[in-house]
Amino acid sequence: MTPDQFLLSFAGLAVLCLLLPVLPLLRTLSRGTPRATPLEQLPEAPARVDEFRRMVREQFSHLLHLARDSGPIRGANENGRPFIVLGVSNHLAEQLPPGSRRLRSLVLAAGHLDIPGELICDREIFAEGRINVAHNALVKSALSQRDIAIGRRARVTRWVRTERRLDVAEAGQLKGWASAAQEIALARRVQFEQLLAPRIVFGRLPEDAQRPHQLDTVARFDPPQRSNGQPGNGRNLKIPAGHTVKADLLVSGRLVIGDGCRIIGDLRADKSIVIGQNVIVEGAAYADGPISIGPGCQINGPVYSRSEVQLGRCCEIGSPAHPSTLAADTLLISEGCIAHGSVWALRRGEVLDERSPA
Amino acid sequence: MNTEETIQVIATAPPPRSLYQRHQHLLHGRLAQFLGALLIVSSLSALLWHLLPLIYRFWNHSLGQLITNLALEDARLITSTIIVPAWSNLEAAAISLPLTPPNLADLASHMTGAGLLYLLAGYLHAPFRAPLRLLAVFHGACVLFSLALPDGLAYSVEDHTRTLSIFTQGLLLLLPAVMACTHYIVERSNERRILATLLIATYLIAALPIKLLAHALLIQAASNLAMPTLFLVFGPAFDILAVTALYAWAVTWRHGPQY
Repeated sequence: MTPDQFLLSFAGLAVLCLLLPVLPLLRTLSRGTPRATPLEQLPEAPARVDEFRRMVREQFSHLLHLARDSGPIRGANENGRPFIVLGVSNHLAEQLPPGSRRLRSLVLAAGHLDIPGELICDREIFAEGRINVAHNALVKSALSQRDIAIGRRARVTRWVRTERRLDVAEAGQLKGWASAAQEIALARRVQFEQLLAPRIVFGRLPEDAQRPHQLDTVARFDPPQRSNGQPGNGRNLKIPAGHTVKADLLVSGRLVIGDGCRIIGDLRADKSIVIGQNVIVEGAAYADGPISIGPGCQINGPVYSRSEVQLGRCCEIGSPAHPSTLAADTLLISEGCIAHGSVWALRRGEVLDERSPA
Repeated sequence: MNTEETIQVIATAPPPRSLYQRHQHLLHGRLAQFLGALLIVSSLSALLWHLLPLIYRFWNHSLGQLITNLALEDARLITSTIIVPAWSNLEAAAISLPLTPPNLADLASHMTGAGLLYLLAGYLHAPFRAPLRLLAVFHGACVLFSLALPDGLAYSVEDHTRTLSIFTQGLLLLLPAVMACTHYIVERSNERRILATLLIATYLIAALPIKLLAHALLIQAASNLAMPTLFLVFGPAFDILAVTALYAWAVTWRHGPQY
């Protein structure tokens, strides 16, 4: 090998050494940011719930029946995983050693089930009656055929499913998937990720809930024009207050809807959407940037943002007859809001405390 | 829980009574993880320390072969001893290469290069624009410094390569401890911990001779005006970047389903 050939080989080797650590980085960059979309996440948690429900039915139904008559049963399966089956009038606290903070057993109850405060449950819990999770407790997953109540600052880390209603007290946390057959009610400062129910109530509902009040709407809306009479470039659009627009509004910049407007059509903006007070949107709202929805608005279609959605007081997303979806990376929802259908916070969802706004 | 599992044992489990039973979980929990990580760190550190003479031989032999095959008559391999008080002595390989001081044409070409880099950085996107412009400003400032004080940059290729060698060696010896603080706290598999550490160590060991000679050749081709910029971009900072990049790759090795 001549010195020139060796020099070329050496240069190739040096470039390889230079690029070698960066190759995984390039691979990661070429993949893009992994985004868990709601459609991808949706089948996973219900499948786990179904699997757990099937396991309870197939393996523990006779034990639950036995526990109703004979009292609590403790045991372990062939893999050594412990379980506790409680009867109708048994309490979990009586089965725990005094001062215990962690429970590694699967817990099943034929009646109501009370999880004591500060307890960490590493396994799933099931009750044929109501489940009460006391303050500061941590539960991996919970399934109930009746109601579930999550106490103050208590947490659920994987999933929770109830055949009736789910109540979460102040500052509770629902990580993962939460579903109720009837209603989910979240108190203020509750953090959540994925909610699914026919009716989802955020915070305390005001006694005089004000629905959008339309007064003297202007039927015709003319888009803004340049000084030479030509239509504008459509980058930003502002609908003045009190107008009714029967069209889809698509802008490449910022879309602003004034107070009291009624939009019959979809909203789409590349940057952000700002919706004023008491606006009715009979369609979807989709933006790459943040969406800010003022108090008292009603959006009948889905609301989707790639960054943040902020809902003012007493907003309503979807309707009982037509469930909808509210999805964003960050969801900041004021008290008094109601959503019908599913609510997805891909990174963070929180019910704002109006007494000390974030 | 697996639905295929069948329940065979039904018994009343008494609450734990003895001291061992009450603290048994510690042996299978965090304490065990901590002790395992500590054992791996000490073993790998001892291994690298005992392999140092072999590593020195590899570096010296590789550098000697590279210098011979590249027909660099002026280049010489210099091995200096670093005396560590109350500890064993270390060695540092360096390359000695005579350099001519930069003339006015060198200064002008480097200044033009810095200016072009600054301008071309404007065509890049935001994450890359500012660092490249900063680099151009740094290079221009070094050229101006050399113009103002011709004897100000009193470093030779030997000093440059020796510093690189010492830094890489220090990083290599501290690597198990660094990985324990960053990687072992998220990785629970001992095999993967060891594999990741050895992988990064292998890269550092294999890349050092190539890096030293590449630096020497580049400085010889572009005069010693390129030395500060090379040190800034492809010196210790590049070593740290390489370790971080390989660490980031190792930390994303996927595991099986947790459920």
